[in-house]
Amino acid sequence: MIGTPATKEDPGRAAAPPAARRRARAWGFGRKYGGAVALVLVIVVLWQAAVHLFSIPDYLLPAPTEIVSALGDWSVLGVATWVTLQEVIYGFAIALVAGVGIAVVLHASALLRRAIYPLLIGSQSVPIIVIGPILVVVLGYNILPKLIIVALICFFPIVVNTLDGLGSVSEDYILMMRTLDASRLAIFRRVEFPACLPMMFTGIRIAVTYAAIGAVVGEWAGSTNGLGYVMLEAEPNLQIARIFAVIVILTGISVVLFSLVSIIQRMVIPWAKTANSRRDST
Amino acid sequence: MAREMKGQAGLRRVPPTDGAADNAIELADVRHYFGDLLVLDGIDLSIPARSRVSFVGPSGCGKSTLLLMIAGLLKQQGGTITVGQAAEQSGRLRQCALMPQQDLLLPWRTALDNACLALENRGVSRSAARRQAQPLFEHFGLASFEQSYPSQLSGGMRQRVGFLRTLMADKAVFLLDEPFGALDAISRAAMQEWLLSAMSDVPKTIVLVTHDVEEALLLSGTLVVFSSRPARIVDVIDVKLPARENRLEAVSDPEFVALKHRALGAIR
Repeated sequence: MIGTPATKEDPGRAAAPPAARRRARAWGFGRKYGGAVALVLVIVVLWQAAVHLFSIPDYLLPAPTEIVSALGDWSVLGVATWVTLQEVIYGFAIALVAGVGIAVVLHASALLRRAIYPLLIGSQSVPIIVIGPILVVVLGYNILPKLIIVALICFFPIVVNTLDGLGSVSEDYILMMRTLDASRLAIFRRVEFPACLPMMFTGIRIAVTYAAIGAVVGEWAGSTNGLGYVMLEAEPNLQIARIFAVIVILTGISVVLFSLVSIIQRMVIPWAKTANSRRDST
Repeated sequence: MAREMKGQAGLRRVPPTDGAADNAIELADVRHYFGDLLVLDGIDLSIPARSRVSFVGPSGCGKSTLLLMIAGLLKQQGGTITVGQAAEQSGRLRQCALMPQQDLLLPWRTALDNACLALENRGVSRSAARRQAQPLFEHFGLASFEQSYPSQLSGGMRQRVGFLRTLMADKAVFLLDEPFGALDAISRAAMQEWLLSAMSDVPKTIVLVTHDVEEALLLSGTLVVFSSRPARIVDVIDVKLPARENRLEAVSDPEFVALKHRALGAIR
């Protein structure tokens, strides 16, 4: 390495032809997710084998092939997925706006923080499943109670992580900004808020995986459509394969949303290496 | 010896440079405690405008604390501190820029945008601030690194961006708190030479805090030597050394060595 001029990027990598880069990317993808895909395949094969080998009846545990064919019933599941997806996305959007807003207000005022923070923590021990039916009685069989339940489940990790992120800035940065004539607002805008983004995204990634559960809980409390409603309908009819199909769709929604948030995170804060990208690069 | 000087002059005067008469910084009987622990024990000092002064003393003696107080970031518990005409904290803060030991560059801003911070804080638009900061990059040996993020820069370059950011604040008084303390010995030596040339065209009062006597002698016209805690001024050394071609010649000059011994003796 001695005598090699220091460059910002490895010139060899930058000069690689597109085809080679594509291959390298595919290989990187395989190395990153190959393990998870293989594990799922192994479980599915074992599951299928077990169902056939021990002749387990459909209404106890349907075979993966049964679940796949239940997924094909898209006339029911497609509409239900769309209904639930809307609840998830709108409810999550409310949680995001409210969560970040509350965190900023609590960060700005020590008085409000001392008054409200304990209540927020307490609110998390209230069982949402109990609140659901009450909300349906008050607000009716529409999308509103679902949005509120999704938001209630999702906002907490966003508030806690954002608040911690806002408070994580070292005092030295604040002093430095003050000698550069920064007002309280300038310190917030140029230091505290950008500094909180990595933690805020951690909270968002946790929250987004809860959103689908929230929507289903909301639908169980009272609904006329959606994936939770489909599950409720399928159960007394012993359409267990359909229930599993719904679980597959809900898992898919969570994985896709989580990946979307991760992609947005990389675009918004390219300067912050997440714990995972650090682990992968070593 | 310290007592005698105090008796004669009242205030310790750092000799003015270029006949500048007005004092940039006046300290009178400044005292400070951390809890019950006395850290600063009656500091009296006048620093003329546009002089280059170093505070040297053992690590942890309270010289950095004194710097924070001059900058108006910390309130002294006794005595008065005046910067220019301002004795209250907010007024001092308006006239002082502080460069800390860690570069404290914002990792989400490019080198150029880090240098723009002070201007943006004053309401200058980002594009106008960039136009003002851009020309200075070449002058400070940072040309073509404007768009680099701090994580892509070496420790020495980050400190240069930090210096530039402090300079863009355009304050009358420049306070440097062990600016090279976090660097290795080799880049530290290079940065000292760089700072010497960078300071030569900055018409500001510069106070450098360091525990490195050699650095202080190389970079400043006056050494204010502090004792260990509680800090008192034990010596004020006027550095009049002939200009040297390079650092090695300068530090091996017999006069340089003599002053270094004097300062080290005073600390002990």
